[in-house]
Formats: sequence, structure tokens, C-alpha cells
Amino acid sequence: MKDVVVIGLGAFGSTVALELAKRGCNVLVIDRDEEQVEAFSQYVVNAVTADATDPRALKEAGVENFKIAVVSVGEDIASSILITMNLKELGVDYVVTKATTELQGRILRKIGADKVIFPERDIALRTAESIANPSIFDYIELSPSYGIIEIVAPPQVIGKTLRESQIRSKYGLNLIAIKREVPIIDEGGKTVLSEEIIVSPAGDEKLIEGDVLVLIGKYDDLERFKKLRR
Amino acid sequence: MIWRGLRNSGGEKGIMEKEIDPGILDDLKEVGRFYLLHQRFKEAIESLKKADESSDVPDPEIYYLLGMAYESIRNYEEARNYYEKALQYDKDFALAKERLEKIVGK
Repeated sequence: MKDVVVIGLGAFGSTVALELAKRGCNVLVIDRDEEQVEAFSQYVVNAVTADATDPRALKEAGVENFKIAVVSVGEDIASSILITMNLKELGVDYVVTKATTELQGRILRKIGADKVIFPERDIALRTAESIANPSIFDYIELSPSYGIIEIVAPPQVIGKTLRESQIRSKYGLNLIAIKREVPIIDEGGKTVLSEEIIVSPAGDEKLIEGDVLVLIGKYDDLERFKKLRR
Repeated sequence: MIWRGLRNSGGEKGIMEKEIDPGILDDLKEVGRFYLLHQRFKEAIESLKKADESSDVPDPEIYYLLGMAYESIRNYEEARNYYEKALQYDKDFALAKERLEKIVGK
């Protein structure tokens, strides 16, 4: 079981804390707002009202015993910086801090944040991508050059086997999985849809209309493949 | 249009009534279901639309099956239309409701 301290109970921080608790983590939440903390204490092991920019308050809350911290204190970059520094000085191994701009991200990295996340930017990217190209269901940046996309199979590959589709040989992409809605008759004799996920499909797997392909590859190659549908 | 046969009506010679065999409508729906279950979505849509056109009374199940065919090919707009239509004629159609909730935001 992992021990995680979550600082800041806004929409982001509270979701992170709740989901960690659901996954069996031992979670300590810290926020300045007493009511918010009170409301949260029933969901997580420990909820403390404190000003996390004050190193003594963090120490008193027992943050030193935690190896992982998530800092999400809204727009206030000065507080994010102070809290991140405090956590690192108290010996927390891995500090994840939320930022809204690239500049904030650079500063946070300099002062010791182990990971800086940009939830708004990331969701904005995905939203733009899915509006501009409705066949793209999801888009994940893995590194500056590699990514994963979920895309509806373009007409060019429908009816072909994976091998014939040349996804790997021509586009340099690897198909991680196929998501498929399969109509079935359930136990009650009703016709219903059941989502099937074919992980690491074999070369002779036939692609059918409506298949969603989960592809990993270089951005340039993913871009080439994305253009197929248009 | 499907004709079972022609017959004289009300003694008036020459006036013919068309009569649709309800069994054939069921067949079209079942053909549609067959194609759907075999993931031949285009054929399923074709048969189900024919079944709908030939039917005097709207059949919510046909719309539900059409919704699933469209959802399977990721045409969520049409899927939504048909699930809503199914619910329009049967507001307690739990399966259609379930599907409609699943595709919210898609």
C-alpha cells in the first residue's frame, strides 16, 4: 500500500485523493479550508487543516513519513513553489505538482518537483484533437517523440487482416489493442452490445468497420496514419 | 413494398387492397438481427430500415437494433437518434436507455 499526501482539495486534488483511497492507498489530505477537510475526512485515512506553505505545519501533520506527494493548490504559483520546496526539504521522495503554464512548470522543476503536470493543457490538447478529428478518441503523449492514439479504423484497412493492413510495415506503428462493440445475445435472450478488447492482436485478425485501434508510434507516423481517414 | 396477394375489396370490382404479411416484417427484423449479430453492420442497417419502412406501427425494437448497428460502427449521432426514437415509442425501454447513457459525450 502506498502512502501519499495530497495538498490542496480543489476539484483536481480531491479527485486524486479519492481515487487513490479507492485504490487502497493510505492518503493524507491537507488543505487550509477547515470545512473542506472536514467533509473529506470520511473518505481518507487522515485529513488535516493546515497552511502547507508553513514547513512546521507540514512537519506536524507528519508529512515526513510520506514518500509521495501531490501538490494542487490552484492558480497560486507562489504557494505551489513554497509547498514543493518544503516537501523536498522534509525528504519526500517524489513530488508531483500541478502547473498551468510552461513557465510555472520550468520554475517548479528547478526547485525540485519530480514531476510537473499540466492537466488543463493536456485536456485542452485532447479536446482540440477530438473536435478537429472526431475519429480520434484519445491521444496520449508518451515522450517528446512517441505517443498513443485511439482512432476509428480508416476505410483503407477495413476488411483486411492486420498483416494486410500494413499498419506496421508501411506506417511503422504498433497496434496495442482493438476495441470492438460486439452485438451478442445475453443470458436473458436480449440482443445487447458487449465491448470486446483484443489485446496484442495476431497478424491474421481481421479489422472490421467500427473497430477502434489503439496505436503506439512516433508522432510523424501517427500523423500519416491519421490523415488516412480524411 | 411487400405484397402478399391481391384481392377484391367490398365487391367493387377492380379495387385492390395491398396487404402486408406481418410475418414478413418479422423476418426482415430477424434478418437485420442476424446480420447485426454477425457484425455485418451495413446489411443489418439495410434490413432494419426496410423492416421499419414496411411497418405500419413503429416498432421500438427495430430502432434499438438500428441504434446498436450505428453504435458499432461508431456513428454516435445516428445511434443516439435511433435510441431516442426507441424511447419515444417505449419510454420504459431500459436497454435503449442504458445505451443512450453509455454514449453520452461521444
